[in-house]
Amino acid sequence: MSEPNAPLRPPLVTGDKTLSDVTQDICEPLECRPNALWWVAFLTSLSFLLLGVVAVWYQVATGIGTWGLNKTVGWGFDITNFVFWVGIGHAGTLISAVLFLFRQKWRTAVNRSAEAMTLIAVMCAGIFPLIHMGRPWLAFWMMPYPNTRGPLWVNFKSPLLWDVFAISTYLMISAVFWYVGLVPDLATVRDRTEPGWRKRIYSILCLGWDGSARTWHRYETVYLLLAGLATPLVFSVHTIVSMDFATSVIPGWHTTIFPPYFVAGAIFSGLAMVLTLMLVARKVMTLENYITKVHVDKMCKLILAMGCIVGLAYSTEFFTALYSGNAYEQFVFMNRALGPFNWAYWTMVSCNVIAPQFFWFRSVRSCLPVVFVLTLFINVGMWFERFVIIVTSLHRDFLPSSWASYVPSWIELATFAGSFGLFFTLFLIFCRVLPVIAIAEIKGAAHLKKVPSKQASVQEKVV
Amino acid sequence: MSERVILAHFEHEDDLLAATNAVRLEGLQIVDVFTPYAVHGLDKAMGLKPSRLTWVCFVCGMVGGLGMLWFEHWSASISWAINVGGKPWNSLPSDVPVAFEAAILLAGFGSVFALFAVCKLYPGKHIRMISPRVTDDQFVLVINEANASFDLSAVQDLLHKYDVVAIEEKLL
Amino acid sequence: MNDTSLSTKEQRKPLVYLVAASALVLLCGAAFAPDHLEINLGENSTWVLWDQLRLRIWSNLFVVAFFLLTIALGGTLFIALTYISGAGWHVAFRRIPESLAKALPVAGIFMLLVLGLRFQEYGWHHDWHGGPGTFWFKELWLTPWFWMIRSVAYVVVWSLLGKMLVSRSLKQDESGDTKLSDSNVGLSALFLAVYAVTFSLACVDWIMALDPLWFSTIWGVYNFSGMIQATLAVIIILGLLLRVQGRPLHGVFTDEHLHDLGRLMIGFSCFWMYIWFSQYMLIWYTNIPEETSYFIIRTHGSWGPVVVVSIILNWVIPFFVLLPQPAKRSSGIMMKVAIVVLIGRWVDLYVMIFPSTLISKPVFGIWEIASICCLVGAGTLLILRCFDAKNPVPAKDPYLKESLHYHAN
Repeated sequence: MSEPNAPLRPPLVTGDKTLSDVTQDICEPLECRPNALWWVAFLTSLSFLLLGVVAVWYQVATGIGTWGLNKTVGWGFDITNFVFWVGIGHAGTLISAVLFLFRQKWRTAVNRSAEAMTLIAVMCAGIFPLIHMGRPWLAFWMMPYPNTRGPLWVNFKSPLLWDVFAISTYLMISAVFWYVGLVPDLATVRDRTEPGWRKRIYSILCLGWDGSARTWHRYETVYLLLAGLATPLVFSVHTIVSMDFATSVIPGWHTTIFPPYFVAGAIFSGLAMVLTLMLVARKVMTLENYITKVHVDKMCKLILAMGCIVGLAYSTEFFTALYSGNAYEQFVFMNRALGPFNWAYWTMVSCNVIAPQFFWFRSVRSCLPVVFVLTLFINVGMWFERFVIIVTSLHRDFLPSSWASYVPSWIELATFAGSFGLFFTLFLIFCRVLPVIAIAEIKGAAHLKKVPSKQASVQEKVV
Repeated sequence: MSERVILAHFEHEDDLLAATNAVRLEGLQIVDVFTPYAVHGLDKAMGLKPSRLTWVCFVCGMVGGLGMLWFEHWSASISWAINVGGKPWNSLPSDVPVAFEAAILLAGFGSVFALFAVCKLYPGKHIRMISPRVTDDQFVLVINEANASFDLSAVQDLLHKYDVVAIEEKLL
Repeated sequence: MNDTSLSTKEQRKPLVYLVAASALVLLCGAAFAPDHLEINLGENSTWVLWDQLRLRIWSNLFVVAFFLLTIALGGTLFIALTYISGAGWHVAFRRIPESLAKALPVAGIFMLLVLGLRFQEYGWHHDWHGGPGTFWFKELWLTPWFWMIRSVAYVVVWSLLGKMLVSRSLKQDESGDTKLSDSNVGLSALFLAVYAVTFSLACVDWIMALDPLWFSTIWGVYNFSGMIQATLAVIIILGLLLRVQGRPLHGVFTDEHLHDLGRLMIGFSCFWMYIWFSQYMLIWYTNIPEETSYFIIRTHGSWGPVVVVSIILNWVIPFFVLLPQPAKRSSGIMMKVAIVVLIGRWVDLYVMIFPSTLISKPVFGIWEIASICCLVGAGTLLILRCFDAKNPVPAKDPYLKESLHYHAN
């Protein structure tokens, strides 16, 4: 029943692996002690995380007046970072759900770590609006629960409340999707682990998975359903994030293309981040046979496509500002390109639109150090995109007398660095305790070589 | 419950699929098949019916979406009517995003918990693996021997046609 | 021609008559019928039979031409997207989108003729100087000759790229050279880049400019979503018709292909709804006068129900009907849903174009029926002509085997 691979299809897994080789290769890092490189990376991330914790503690204790915001620029680093992290998360869902629906089998090499990345990135994102509330311990007020104030309900007409629901749903569904995918692999790890506390933890987490085909059958159904649900979810989440801006009447924020444009941008940034991480992981964890150059090539092409869509959205906005004849709209776009924040704007354009164009060349796509550098550029560029949208639309508003500039305070910088610390700390822990590649999925997707079967022997054994 | 079964071990999915299909066509009762990954087409080879979990998902989604829509309408225009930006109290377009999220959330959690319930998966469940290699690289086909017309040697001959690696008898 | 096409001249005759008769009705209407016709029913009451007839006929022709053009372009887009994504599942029936792509030049010329009839009207009127929204760029952009040159350029570029894509695929039938597939991948990338820019601009030039003060940045995406949805519907209908016993795709176009097309259809129905809602929601929420003009006329008053109908046909029905897995594998259900989607596409274009050409309330009469007959007849004839029954399957495509053995789940 295995489907005939067209002669043009390169193998998903290289190096003539058998099924048990796959298990061995992927589980091995979990069973030995971490190497020095891991410790260096972990301690560095942890120190950034600690810096972030101190900064968050300070700004919560003192108040968000410690930020560089002013009356005109009421949103700055915090929302930029929030949108940036949510966007990073989107590629995980794209790879695990959308590519699953499109039967792109190469996704199996990267989907697990991309999903983990989603989960961690959404956690990082959630921190920023929480701090911005000023009294994060009252965050539960965002939930509509019967209360003694009337009961007065939350404002369902506010895009910021839609965000609360969108981000929390996204976090929960991504977590469930990720966990459901992990269950069979946890069983694999359980059966390999020597009896002890580790085995006990894996046994509890894998929910008594025994590999029964009846379970697999239902499991596949639910996995498909979750992919089907996560796909519209990923669209809705960044659509709602974009509506935080687009439902306003601020030129540069209010434009109808924002929903699909933000979704494309989010996927673009996320893919760049996935590729950055994968290029490191395949080297450090010696997964070159699983995350092959073919995978990198496909990711580069996806990034190129997304980069072009993002570029098209930029030019559509510019064109429509010109076409509409709306003077305020035109001013915002001129101000972006030529005003005081033009350096941010041109950083964004060169990183997001020009840098990915190198991926047109096969030689670039196959030169991994160059790919690595380009993905870093895109990560930077997509952060600047959000910064440009948020700050340049605000800092010169309708009334020239209230024009202002914006410089982030060191507290904001430290919080941002801290979010990177959290991201990498959690990601490094994930690499140590859970299989970074979906073992069961890659076994099903890659047509591995058939082991020459041994002479069958009949054992009469009654237990 | 104790029943006498045959465990046939395979090392490749093609063999397993062909053997399962043949065993089912022979009219033998397949207790279960244990595999390290979801083998494509095994459900058809075993004669399993499509899962009804999709309906759970649909119903949960509808309940979540319509329920949230009703709640938004009730809270914003009946329980405590409030004017937001001059918009009508009952504004369908602004109710859609949250209702959509609620639909997805309920549909997702509903179908996953239904899966866990139907498959009896829960933390701390005590199981006895049919073979330790089943989560690694082995496929095990379990055939019920209870049938009176069961002919062990015929079944063995049948299984050998499909490169069976080992056959063992067991009481389950 | 006869030996390679699907039908004989005899079989095509009724279609030719249908197209000729409906075209004649439309032409006569445009040339001879009075622009305004009302019947006096006695004291103080008149029955307005029709009003602004020439405009109405032109709007009808516009819908027909844009419908046909976007389906032909959609076929090309389908080919390009599948090449670029390295897909193999669709190869068995790739001749269907290829036949759509072959219809591009004819559909494009028809579109240009319709546009040419009124291209002066699109221009920025000189007596509007200094009015709201006046700006040197808009005056330049909507200068009639510049506008017409662009329109011709779009059609020429699409037709050329579409022809190149198809001809390499046909060439592969003879040589079996896999390099032709590779070069089509590169060509598809070029097509997609060109398409993305030109189609967005074409939608602005042709449809958005009907209402010269209105603008929306999502417009190109919105038109893309409707276009791909209708194209999928056409591919499904053709696939089902051609796989009947004795027809060229019998045994080639399988339930598996149908299943995946159904999945794409439900996906793009949702995408259409998503884009429609995004545009509506943002304009409704911000309530800025220069933007709301588009939706006020369409959602208030007599156009309102038409918008609701378009949402039901384009999203509600395809979504809920195709949700169960078996529905996507059933020929009967898929055929019906595809027809519903095509009707929905017509309604969507109708409600997009008619209110903008200043037809104040929904009209449906002899002129609309004639134009729909013209659309169905001309579309069918075009495809009958373009589908090459001699080589109905890309026999030497390297992915053909994969496509024939494809399993959708």
